[in-house]
Amino acid sequence: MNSWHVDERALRAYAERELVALERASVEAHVMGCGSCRGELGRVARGSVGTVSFEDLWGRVQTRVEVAPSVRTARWLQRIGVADSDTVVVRQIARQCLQWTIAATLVLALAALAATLGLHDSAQLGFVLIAPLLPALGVAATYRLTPTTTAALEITSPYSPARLLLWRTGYAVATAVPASVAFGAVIPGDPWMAVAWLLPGGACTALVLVAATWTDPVRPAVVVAVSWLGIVASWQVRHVPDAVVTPSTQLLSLAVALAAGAVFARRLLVLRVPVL
Amino acid sequence: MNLTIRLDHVTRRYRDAVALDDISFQIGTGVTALLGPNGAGKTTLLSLLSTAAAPDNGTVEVFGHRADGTLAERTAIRRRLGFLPQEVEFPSGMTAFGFLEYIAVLKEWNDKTARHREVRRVLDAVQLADRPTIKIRKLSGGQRRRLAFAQALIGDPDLLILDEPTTGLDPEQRAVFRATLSERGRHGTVLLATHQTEDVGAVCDQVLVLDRGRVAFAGDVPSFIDSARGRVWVDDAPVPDAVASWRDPNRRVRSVGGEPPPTAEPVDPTVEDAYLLLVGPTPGVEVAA
Repeated sequence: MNSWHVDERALRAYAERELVALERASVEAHVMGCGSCRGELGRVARGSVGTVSFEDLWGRVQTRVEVAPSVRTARWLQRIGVADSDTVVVRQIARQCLQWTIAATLVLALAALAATLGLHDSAQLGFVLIAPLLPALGVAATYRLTPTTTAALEITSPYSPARLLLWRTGYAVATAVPASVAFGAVIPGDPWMAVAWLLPGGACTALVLVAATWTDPVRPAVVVAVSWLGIVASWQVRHVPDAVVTPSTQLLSLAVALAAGAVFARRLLVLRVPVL
Repeated sequence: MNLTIRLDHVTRRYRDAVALDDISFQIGTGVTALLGPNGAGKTTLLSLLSTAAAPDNGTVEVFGHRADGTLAERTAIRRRLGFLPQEVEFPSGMTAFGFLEYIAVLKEWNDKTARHREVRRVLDAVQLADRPTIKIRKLSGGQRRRLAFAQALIGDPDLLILDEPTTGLDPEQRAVFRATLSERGRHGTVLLATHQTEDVGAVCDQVLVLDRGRVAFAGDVPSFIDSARGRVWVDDAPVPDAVASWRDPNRRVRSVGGEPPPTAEPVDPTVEDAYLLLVGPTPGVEVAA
């Protein structure tokens, strides 16, 4: 049995969300174990919040405790304008694709390590091969790593498949790009290399995105990956390993990305797939 | 009876195999059992009704919308649908609450307060309200099955499609489950694919039996049971040409089908008897001891 109780002023401040995090946690911890204060909180809440019932308020307290570990991520996402319900989707994608994120970062780290060990050519070749493909492969990975039956529940839900595809693409891009830019900066050679892969990477990702409106994204991702490997191999054969930084490659990549983006938008219109 | 589901000459093939062969039927409000041996086409039928797949021929309508129609039509169905697949493989590292919240978002519960309240409601409905923060991997098989059932209940859908929902539940949980289904069948439609014939007698109003991709029976439960009347006997020994025989709790041998000897006594048939007579015994069907 508790020998102390939260005073009314603190309960009112809690109900009106005016306490700082530490104070809120303290009140929550006490209220969860003290029936008397729960009752008092209900009375205070009815008076101070008006339309909020005690049941609702107590539900919020429980939920706050239940989902506490992911609250920080959600708040950060909401701060950049992501709707609360979408933060649940993004957190779910991130949770499922943790292995992918770790693997992608490790691969890039290996390329950077090779550079620091003096294997400049190998490091550069590895980076040009991998960096543009990571976002595209990431999109496929977000689908591949979703358990089949969870995917069945996604398919049979009213949530827009285009919206889900875009969130998965956004996640793949957001996790791959910063790491690629960072590791690209430590690889010797043309200083533009750290960012020159962005447009080819955008083109690869856009191609997978548009193909995903017809089929499972895994197959187009494999086709795009094999094609990119062929292009890089041809540069090696022609002794132009820095071809990725040339204006022609950049312009061609931009054209492919824009064309794929236009086809994607057209597909959404034709299929009447809402994004929002 | 309000019509919920209508299939008209539906065929679905997988390469050379015909999973559903020109089937037609209608289902209205209430609880309908979907019975059939393994490979009869039950899961294929459920995937068509849940809008996950499209037929090769024929039309599938749910709430008057084409299940293979435009995305708008499929979305209209999905907004009123709760679907429980046969096996639910949960995403790794999730809590019961987190999983249900994700499914609630997929079902367009965008308001956080209402969504959390709904998640707590369905957790309570499956008696998992005291375990919201536990990691799913730490739940028992029965608890996971109940969690899977809970996701289908989110939003109180007008149509519940359940594939083998009682597998792994203990008798007490099955009793709670049956009560929940009976309640839902009063104002909505439940399609229950099952091998547990006891569930059919306990909660179902209608029976649909599939066999090798075709409808072998469609009608109400009493008619289904009546189809076996006069063909079930008990005796001290099995009837030689019976479809199935087994020892009952009174240590007598119950036989279904065949020509009974003069000593055999006719008994009231059950759903299981009627099913065995219709499609014969299969490894997937549980025969009560």
